[in-house]
Amino acid sequence: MRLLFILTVVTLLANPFAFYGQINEQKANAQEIDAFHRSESCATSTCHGGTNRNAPAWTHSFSTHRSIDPHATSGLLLLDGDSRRIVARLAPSAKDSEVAFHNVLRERCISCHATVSPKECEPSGQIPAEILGRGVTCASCHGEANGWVDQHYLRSWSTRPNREKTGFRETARLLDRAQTCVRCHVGSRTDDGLIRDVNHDLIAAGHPALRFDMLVYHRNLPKHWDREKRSERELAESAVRVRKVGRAVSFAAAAALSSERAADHLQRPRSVPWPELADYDCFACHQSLTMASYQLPSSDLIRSPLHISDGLPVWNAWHSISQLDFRDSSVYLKDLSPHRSDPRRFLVAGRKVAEHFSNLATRTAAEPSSPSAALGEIVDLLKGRPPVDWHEAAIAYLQLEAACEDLSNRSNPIVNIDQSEQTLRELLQLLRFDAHVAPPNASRARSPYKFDAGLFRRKVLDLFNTSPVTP
Amino acid sequence: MNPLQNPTGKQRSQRIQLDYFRRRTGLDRWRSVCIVVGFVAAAAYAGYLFYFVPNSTRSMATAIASNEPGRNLLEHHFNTGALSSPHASFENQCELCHTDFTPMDANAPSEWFPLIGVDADVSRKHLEDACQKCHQVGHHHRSKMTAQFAARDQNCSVCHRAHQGRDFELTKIARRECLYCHRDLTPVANSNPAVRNSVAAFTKSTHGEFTSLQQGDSGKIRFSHALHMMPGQVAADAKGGMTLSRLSPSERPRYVREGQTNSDLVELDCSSCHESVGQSVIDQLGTQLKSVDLELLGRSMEPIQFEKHCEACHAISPGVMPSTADPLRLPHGVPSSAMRTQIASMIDGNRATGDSRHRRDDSKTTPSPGLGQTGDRESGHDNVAHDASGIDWRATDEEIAAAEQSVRNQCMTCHDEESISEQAILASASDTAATLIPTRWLRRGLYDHAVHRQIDCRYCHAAAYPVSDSLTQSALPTDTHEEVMIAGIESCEGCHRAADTPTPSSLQRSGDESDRLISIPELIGNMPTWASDECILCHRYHSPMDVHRPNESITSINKGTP
Repeated sequence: MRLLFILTVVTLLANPFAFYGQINEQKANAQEIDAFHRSESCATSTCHGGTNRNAPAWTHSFSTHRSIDPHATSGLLLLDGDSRRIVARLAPSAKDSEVAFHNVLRERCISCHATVSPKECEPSGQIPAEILGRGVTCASCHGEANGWVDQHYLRSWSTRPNREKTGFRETARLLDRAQTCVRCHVGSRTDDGLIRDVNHDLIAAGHPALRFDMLVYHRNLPKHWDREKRSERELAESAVRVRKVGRAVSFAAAAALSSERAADHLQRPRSVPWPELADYDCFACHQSLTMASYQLPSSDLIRSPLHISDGLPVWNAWHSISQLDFRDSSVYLKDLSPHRSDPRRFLVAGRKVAEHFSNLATRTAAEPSSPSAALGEIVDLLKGRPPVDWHEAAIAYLQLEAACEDLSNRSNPIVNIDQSEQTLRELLQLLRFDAHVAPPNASRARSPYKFDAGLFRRKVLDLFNTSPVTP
Repeated sequence: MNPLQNPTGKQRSQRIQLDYFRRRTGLDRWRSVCIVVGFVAAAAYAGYLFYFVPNSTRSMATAIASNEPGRNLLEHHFNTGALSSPHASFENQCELCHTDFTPMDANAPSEWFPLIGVDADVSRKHLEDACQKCHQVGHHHRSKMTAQFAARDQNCSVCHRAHQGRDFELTKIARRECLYCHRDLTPVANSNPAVRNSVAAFTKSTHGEFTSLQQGDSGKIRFSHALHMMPGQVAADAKGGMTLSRLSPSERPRYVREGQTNSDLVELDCSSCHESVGQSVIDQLGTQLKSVDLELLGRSMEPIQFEKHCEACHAISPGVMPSTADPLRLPHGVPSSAMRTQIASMIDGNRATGDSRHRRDDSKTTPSPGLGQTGDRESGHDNVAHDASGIDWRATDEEIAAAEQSVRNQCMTCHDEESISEQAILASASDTAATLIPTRWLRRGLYDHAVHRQIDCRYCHAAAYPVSDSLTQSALPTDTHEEVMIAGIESCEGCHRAADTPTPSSLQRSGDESDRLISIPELIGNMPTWASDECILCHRYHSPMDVHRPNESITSINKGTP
C-alpha cells in the first residue's frame, strides 16, 4: 500500500495533467453519438420481444425486462414526489418551473435513470415522455447497437474478436457484468460520455447514498437471460467470488470516479465542487448530536464506542473496507482526507487505485475462491475485535453470507445451514437502519445510529462456537 | 331522197311479219330454259331436303325433336337454328333480340339499305340492351374505336353467335375473333392504341411480355421472400431461428410438420401465407365438406392478413409478459388513440394480475444491509404503498408513450412512415381501401391458380425462393418487396402454344438436370406439355360495368336506375 501511494505521488509530480487529455478525448468522442440506438429494434417479437414464457429466455428478454425489471421504470421515478423534492433542493427554481425541473433531470439524473445520449443530457427543456417511460433499456448495458445489431445473431459472433469495438458491451463474464453495473451504481464521469455522479449535493438533497454490492444486486435483478448457460452456471458457482470480484470492481470504479471528479474540478472549479464529500463515509460526519457523542475516551479516538463510525473520514469507506484498510495508516488517511485535500493528488491516486483494483478483479475472477478462507477471515477479524463501525460490520455480513451460501451448496456442508440462515437473518436485522425505530417512522431511518457492534460480533462468533480473543 | 327516211306504206307494213306470233323468239327460249332450270333446281332441292339434310342434321334434329315433339325435319331446316341451352327459354321470343327485317349479321346487306328504312343501329342497340338485361358487362374500349369497329363491339352476336344449337358455348370465342382487330389495330383505333398494335399469337415475340409485370410491385410491405423460405427464417450462418416452441400453443399446429418437435425450426412454404380464395370456407367446413364446396376454390389467392399470416411470429407487444401460455397481443392497424388505450390496458392488466412489477415496487428478493428491505415480491409481501385512486400501478403517460414508440418501431419493421400515419390507418378501415400488398399482379390477364394446381409454385415464382438453404446472411436479400416474383410469358408459352408447334426443349426432361433439386417435368406435375393458346384463356373482352357506384345496388342497376 505504501508503494502504491509513493507511485501516486511520483506520477502526480511527473505529469498531473496527462490524464485530463484522455478524459476530454473520451468525452469528445462520446458527444458525437447523437442518434442513440435504443431498445426499439430489440423489441420485435421475432427478436427479443416475444411473450411466450416457455420459449428460450432470449426470445422474451425485452418483454421480461419491461415487465418485471425495476430498470424499466427507473425513469418514472424521476417524476415522483420524492424526485421533485430532491430536484427542488438542488435547484429551487424547479419548484415553479417544469422546464427548470426537467433541465435538472437532464443534467443530473437521466444519465443513470434512462438510456440517453450525451446530447440528451444537455439542459434543453422538457424531456420527451418516451425517454422517461423507457427507463434504462437494452443499450445501457449491452451498448449502443448500431455497430453490431446486424451481426450479433450470426454464429460467428460468439467467437468474433474485439467485439467491443463495434460498441457491444460484454456482459456474460462476471467481470464484464460488474463493470457494466458500476457505471451507474457506483458512478462515472466519463463512461459513454455521460456524467453519472451521485455526489454529496445529490445525497444531501435526498438521493440515497450508493452502496453497491454486486451479489445482492445481481440476485435482485430479474433474469432476462438463460440461467442455464455455461457462463451463468460458472457465475453462480461461487457467491464468494462474485462478491470479491464485485467489490474489487466497485472500488476501482469508485476510485476512478474520485479521480474524474478531481479532474473535472481542476477544469471547472466553479461547477464541480471540491472536496467531494460523497467520497467519504457519511456517518463519519453525520453523527448523532447527543451527549454520548462527546464522551469518546481520548485513548480510543480510532475505536468509537458508538460503533457507527469512529469519525474518521475514510475514503470510499463502503468499498475500501477489507480491501484497503486506511485506518492502519494515518498517512493514508491524511493524504486522502477531505481536509485541505488537493484534487491533483486525488486525480492520480484515484487512477492508480482504480488500475490496481481493476487488475485485482481480473485476477480474482480467474481464480477459484475459497468460502472457508473467506469465513476464516471474518471469524479471525471478529475474534480479535468487534467491527470498527457499521460499514465494516455490513461488509463482514456480506462476506459471511456469501461464504455460508457456498458452503451450504456443498454435498457435505461444514456449517449448520438452518442455524447459519437464522443467524444471518438476525445479523441483517441488526444492520438495518430502522432496527430500533417504530414502524411509522421506520422508513425515515437513514443511519445505523443504534448499531450494536458487540452484539453483531457475539452472534457471528456464536455461530461458529468460538469466542473473542482476549488481548 | 333516202327511202329509209321516208318509208312507203308498203315498206311500213312489211316491217312486222303477219305470223310473228307463231315464231319462237329468243325470249321464249330463255323463258323455257328458266322454267326447266327452275324445275331441276326445285327437284334437286327437294332431293337435298329429303336425302341429305336428314343425314347431316340428324343429331340436332333428334335433339330438337326430343324436346319439341311434333315438329318435322323440314321445319327445322328452315329454322335459323336452336338457341344454346342458357337461352333456350327465349326460343320462341324472337322479338326479344331481333327487330323486323334487320339481320344481326354484321356482314348482312342491311347495312346497305338505310334509305328504305332498315336501321342497323337500332337493331344492334336493341340486341345490346336485351343482352345487358342479364349480363352486366361493359363495352370494349368502344370510345377509342372507329365507327365501323364500334359497331362490331356493340353487336353482341359478332362474337356470341346464337342459333348454333343447344350445346353451343356462347362464350367460347375463337382466337380469330380477337385477331380480327388485334392483328392490326391501326384501322381499329381512333388514335395510337395504348396496347401493343399487333398481336398475332401467344409468343413473346408477337404477344410481348406481360405489361403488368413491367410496372413493378406497388406493394408497400418490406418483405424478403427468400428469408422467410429459409428454415427458421434466418440465414444459414445465423442463430436464433424461429422454432415451434416460440409460437403460441394455439398457433403451433398450423406450422408444425410431420415428425417435427417443438425445438425444430419453423419451415414455411407458400401455403403458409398464400391461400386460395375460398380455402378458409373449405377449412371451416371440415368433415362437412361436399364436392360442390370445392367449387369455391378460386382462381386467385386471398389477400395477406396480418392476423392470419404474420401474427404468429410477428405479434405486436408493448413488452408485457403474461403468465398464460397464449401471449397478450396488441391489435393490428388501429389508430394511435385506440392503440394507446390498448397499451395502457395491457400494462395495467398485467400489473393487476401480478405478472408485471408495479412501477414503484422496489421489493427485493435479497435485501441489502441497512436500507432496502421494503418488501419481498416473491413471497408476496408487497409493502409498496398505493394511493386511493390506484394510480401507482396504472400506466403513466410516459410509459404509454414509450410503449407506443416501441410499437411504432415494430410497425416500421414492415411498414413505411406513410402507411402507418393516422390518416392511412383510418383509411385502411374502409372496405374499399386498397391493400398494401396487391391482391393481383397480372391485371390485364387472368391466371387461374386452381387449374394450375398441379404445377409447383417454384415453376412460376422461382424468385421467391432462396437459391440454396445454405445462404449466408450477406447473400440473403433483406427486402425484395419491389421485385415482382412472377415469371414472364416464357413460363406460359411453353405449354400454351399452337397445336402444331413441337414441345420446346425447356419442358423436356434433359440429362443435364443433376444440379436441379427438382426437374422441370416434376415442377409442372408431369402433366402434358400442351395447352390451348386461345386468347380467352387469359383475357376477357368486356370491361366491367361500374357496380361500385355509391348508393346504387346491383338491383338498381338491373332496373336501369340512373
